[in-house]
Amino acid sequence: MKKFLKKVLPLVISAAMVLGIVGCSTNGSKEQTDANKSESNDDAQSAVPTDVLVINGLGDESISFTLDEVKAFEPYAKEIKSLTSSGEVKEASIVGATLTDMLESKGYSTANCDSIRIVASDGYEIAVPKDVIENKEIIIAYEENGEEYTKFGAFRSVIPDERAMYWVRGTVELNFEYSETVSNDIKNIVFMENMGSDIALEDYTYYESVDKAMSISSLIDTYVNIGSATSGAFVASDGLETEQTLDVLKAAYLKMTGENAPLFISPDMPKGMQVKGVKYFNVGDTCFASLSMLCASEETTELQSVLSDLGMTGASYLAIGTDGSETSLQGTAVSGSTFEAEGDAFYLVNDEESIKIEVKTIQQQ
Amino acid sequence: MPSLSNRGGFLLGNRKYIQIFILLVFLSILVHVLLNVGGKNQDVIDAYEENGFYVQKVQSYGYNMEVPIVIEVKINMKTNQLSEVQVISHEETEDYGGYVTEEWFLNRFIGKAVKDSLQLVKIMPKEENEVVAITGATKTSQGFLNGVNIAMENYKKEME
Repeated sequence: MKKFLKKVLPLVISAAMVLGIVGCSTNGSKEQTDANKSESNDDAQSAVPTDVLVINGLGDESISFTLDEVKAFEPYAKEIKSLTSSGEVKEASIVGATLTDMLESKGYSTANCDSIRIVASDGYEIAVPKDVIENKEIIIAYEENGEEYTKFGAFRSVIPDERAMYWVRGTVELNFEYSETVSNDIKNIVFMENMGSDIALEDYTYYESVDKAMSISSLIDTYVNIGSATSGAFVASDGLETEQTLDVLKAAYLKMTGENAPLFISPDMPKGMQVKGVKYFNVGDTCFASLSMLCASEETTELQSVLSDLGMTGASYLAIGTDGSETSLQGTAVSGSTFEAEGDAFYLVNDEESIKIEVKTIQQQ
Repeated sequence: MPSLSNRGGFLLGNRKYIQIFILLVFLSILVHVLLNVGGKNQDVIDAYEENGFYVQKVQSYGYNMEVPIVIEVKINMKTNQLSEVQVISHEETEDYGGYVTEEWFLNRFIGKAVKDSLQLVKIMPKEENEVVAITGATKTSQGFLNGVNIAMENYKKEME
């Protein structure tokens, strides 16, 4: 036995060393591939468990549902249609559970909530407003066109007959919000196209073009009394209304030239959160309004209709021009004024009152 | 405790095995050197010289972690600059990373010097080695750029 070990042991040790050294060298090459793979996935997305739906804001503690738990509810199956921001109609056959059933199982409901913020695994988030919550069923779908979701996560929130922006792939969180987060108490309107040198325009690469954009953080710092506002609201020229948190806003830009301008955009923002053709953007006590969008719509060329849209009910206003001139607006000076474009310039015009101002801001007095 | 003479006997009796051991160690070191110095990065699928250009096919992962983006990178060996980059295949999301095949994106790489690794930026390039990501497709852009960097590094190694 001893003799046998004497013969075999050195061979075994040698072979092990050879295998070890060769193994190390091939592992080195393998690590290059793995490093390459993990580097490009180094973000929060990979850390989020996507087969669990977490619901916050209903009680002191979050509640959650696993895929199996969601499947245990009475299945809601429906052929659904949605409208994308580009006007395309999308159809799908989905199976899921209604949010109503899910909440009831834990003793909760959507009653009294002002909005539900849907958060996806890739960072996309959107707030579902109260009127949609009250009138539509929110579905937590786990199957589409006969197949379960695998790529982005196990769930997709779906609101039948609503815009595709509420159809959120990889839904991981629903945050119930109860307080009125958007201030409707607008005191100032700032016109995006006439801000002049107040705000620096920066070069911004948008697909193949380089456009001009302004940082929303600069806009807020320059014009807004933020008060207790924790979010801002957008109204687009196509009727889209959406809300974003202050953190999202501060990292974002308004692209003022080129395709889809004014465009709400941020380098880290999922494409679905962009807002094309922004007409109004409200935050704190200020509304940023696009004169190009107002003038393009027959409904909003009149000053009075813009003030009504924004809930500004004062009797007296002060219009400040790009040249610093100040004009008091009251009575017919308000009701008879319209926004007009002349070439690249935009004016507030009232022929009867002999008003023609390249208007930068309008402040409620 | 074995005596010194016993130890000497063990060594002398196993001389043959010691020789085999040394030979195997030598061979394993040779294999190691061949794989790590002369061998290629696994992400470089193919590499060859053609009419003054160094052409490489490399793979890298973007948003789709299952299927790599396969890229062809052509380097001008006279100027040491990127002369052409092309996507051979990919399975990135059509509406986002699908733009990786667009000429306007690929052109952002042309003329870049291979001496410095490329860096991805999101809004505007400020340095010569910076490349702007595709709007809304940072992961795909980073994956593609990683692939080009692999090709540039491999080229530099080959030219040493």
